[in-house]
Amino acid sequence: MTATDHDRDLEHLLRDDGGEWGALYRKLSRVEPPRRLDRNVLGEAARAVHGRAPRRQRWLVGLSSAAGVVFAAGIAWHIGHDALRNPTLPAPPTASRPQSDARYVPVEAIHHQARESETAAAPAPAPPAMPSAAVPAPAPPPAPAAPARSPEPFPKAEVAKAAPRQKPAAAPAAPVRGAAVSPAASVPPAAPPESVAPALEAVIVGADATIERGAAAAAALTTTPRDQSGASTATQLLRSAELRNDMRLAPADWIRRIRWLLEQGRREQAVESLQLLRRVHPDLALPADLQALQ
Amino acid sequence: MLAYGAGDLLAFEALYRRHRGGLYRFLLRNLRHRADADELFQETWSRVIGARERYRPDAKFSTWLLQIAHNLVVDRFRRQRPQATPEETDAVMRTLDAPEEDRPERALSEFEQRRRLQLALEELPEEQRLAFVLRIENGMGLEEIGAITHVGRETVKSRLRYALARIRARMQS
Repeated sequence: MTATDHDRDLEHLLRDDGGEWGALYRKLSRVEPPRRLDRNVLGEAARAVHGRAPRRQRWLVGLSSAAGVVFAAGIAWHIGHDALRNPTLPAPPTASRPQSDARYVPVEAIHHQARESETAAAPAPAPPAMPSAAVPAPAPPPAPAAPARSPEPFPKAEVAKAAPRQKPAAAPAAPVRGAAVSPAASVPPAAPPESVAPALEAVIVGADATIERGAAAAAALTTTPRDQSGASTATQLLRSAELRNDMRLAPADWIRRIRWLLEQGRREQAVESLQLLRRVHPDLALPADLQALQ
Repeated sequence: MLAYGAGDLLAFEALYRRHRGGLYRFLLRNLRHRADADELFQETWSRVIGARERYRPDAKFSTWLLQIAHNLVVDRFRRQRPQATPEETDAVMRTLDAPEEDRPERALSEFEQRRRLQLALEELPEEQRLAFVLRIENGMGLEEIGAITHVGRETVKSRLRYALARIRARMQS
């Protein structure tokens, strides 16, 4: 075979259809990846979007946790320091050592048998040599009020659900990146975690804004008199936005959401949402009523 | 990909469905073992997912995707140079090629053709096989193959010429 023949072979190979080599190659079977791999890859993609906070949020969370620990340690140290300076103060009752505990014997009571009955009746003063015993566990901070959950699981305007969360000053129209960086830069290292919360909130609200803008535009399209195809496109956009919002829900809420869609007669969307749920949480055991839904 | 980087999972699904088959066959034809192809297929997509926020559309997505896969394949070649025997190649080919519904007398000759092509591909040096599969399976042009395999256009042409010569010789043997 000559060099010219090789060039001609190459020329054929570089045709759109690959020439005779392409035809021969296409006779080999077109193997597809197994479905197991599809599930793994799509699950990983979903978890990457759904299950993990973006990096800039993660370090904010870490910073707020560290600030909380420093704050609690500061309170504990302060109380312990006060107890050292005022040894006459009665020891504050501690939960870990109740006075009725028979195993606890005050140090002074061992050396003053005559006052045994007295010490048993009254709380012993805190022994100065054991300041750590006098330090009470820091009072647990008041639990943040849990967000009130609406009795109606998912109102129709689900896509606008973040709107009430959007406080007038906390959610600027600036890009998410700016919202994430500027509040954090002004947070002192030992600031209480409450000062970080608005920044986090702003980041979350900013991240939601993209989807919500799209959904709002879609909603506007549906309310504007247009031709049939425009309305259909808007409906699809709205549904797509709602499905994306579904992906943000916890599995239990998501299941409630699917049931709610069924109650509303939106079976097709419920099925789509269920398929999405299966892909995002492949290991989730579905309730019987949803297993039957196909 | 940009939409997925912004959190749109449906965009990723569309992307995945478009490219999954081509990527898998590229890996399988080059690695020849399903387990290896499965592993690198998943690894390639993991890297795509991991890079979703850094992705910039400097090239076609398919070129970028195959570049990742190519680098993984080359790494695998370096670590363990698989040399399949002709018997193993036959076994792989029987696994890959589903029976067809053609007439028996014709199917036999096509079977033989496919078998020879498969053997010829197996026997190609790795660089030539990579270039050939990128062209014939993934439809890449000379420049794209060069970008994926990090060589110039003329080198790609040379590799393809050698590959074709070897394949033709194997087919006529």
